[in-house]
Amino acid sequence: VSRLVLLGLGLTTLVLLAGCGGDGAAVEYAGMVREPAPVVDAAALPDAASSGRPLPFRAAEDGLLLVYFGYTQCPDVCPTTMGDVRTALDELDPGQRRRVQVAMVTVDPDRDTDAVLTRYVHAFFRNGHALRTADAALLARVAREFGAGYDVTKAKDGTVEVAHTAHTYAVDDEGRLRVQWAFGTSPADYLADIRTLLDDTGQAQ
Amino acid sequence: MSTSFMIRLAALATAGSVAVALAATSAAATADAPMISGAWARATGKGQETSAAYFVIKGMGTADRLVAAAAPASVAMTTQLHKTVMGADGKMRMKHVMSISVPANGVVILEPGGFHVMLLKLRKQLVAGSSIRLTLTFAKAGKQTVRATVRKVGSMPGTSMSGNG
Repeated sequence: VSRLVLLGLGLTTLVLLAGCGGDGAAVEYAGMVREPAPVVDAAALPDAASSGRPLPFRAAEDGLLLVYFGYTQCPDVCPTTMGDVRTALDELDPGQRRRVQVAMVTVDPDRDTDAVLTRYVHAFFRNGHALRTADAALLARVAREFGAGYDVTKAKDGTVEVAHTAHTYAVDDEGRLRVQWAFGTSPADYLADIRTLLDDTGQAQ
Repeated sequence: MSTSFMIRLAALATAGSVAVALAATSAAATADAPMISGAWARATGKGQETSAAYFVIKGMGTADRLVAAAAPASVAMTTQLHKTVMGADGKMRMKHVMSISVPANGVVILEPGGFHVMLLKLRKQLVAGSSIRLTLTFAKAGKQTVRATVRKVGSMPGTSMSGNG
């Protein structure tokens, strides 16, 4: 038992050391920061809101790309998240707001047609990206890069059940996943983290 | 003052409070319907087919169960009681529940990420500022009607999920 405790202490120390490392003062986020930051821009998905033009998972220069995996017939989790992110973005000043793009990836491309998905995303974000592919392998690959998971199962009675991880991801202009927020994050926490990320991105140049 | 008088007085007082307690119980039994407050539904965009409604249920003297929550057919073709749950795999899914238990004197909150009334096959767009009628059926207390305000929000500020931000 004592060996286990010691091992535990050792691990804790390692984690603490890792947390203290890095360059300069640690930035505090309400969301989760993964180390090392996953690079997610190897693949691109067609943007139904832009005639299917592939959108790489990389923000415009000095910007942020917020990415969410969901589906439009989701009555609770997805619109809660979309609504709270919108509430946060509405608080940004116009100069900051222009630097943030939002993209929703549908995990239910059978039911979410290009038109349905675009309309849904645009109901929340006027210039939002509606990412949809019928290529299941491509969708799975993109989801894996982010660490997102989903299952779409069809019951005998025809009802479709969708299960999905419900994080919102912030990707920077180098395609790095900087912060991810769990479902239930408050608009105030999204806002604070997005401002920090924008300040950080702006200064990096 | 004699001791026996004091005892008689105490007995009288006790009898009196028992009578009051009985009266309170019987009054509660006739007005035992759970109290609903803060009902709202999330606004939808054009063509969106699903939404959800939420409210707070305050249980009265006896435990009850919410067994149905119906919207007019002109609003939604189908409604279901649902609970959003997160699996061990980190994935969130919705569970169709047959009823929602309301403990005696307890409070049950329907809120984003938890219990909700799923509105399916919406027949019209839910526009912020309007309201929809919901008919709630409790196993014991029967039906009651509430109006849910349509709000263009994600979570609701002040609910337990979104903290007191």
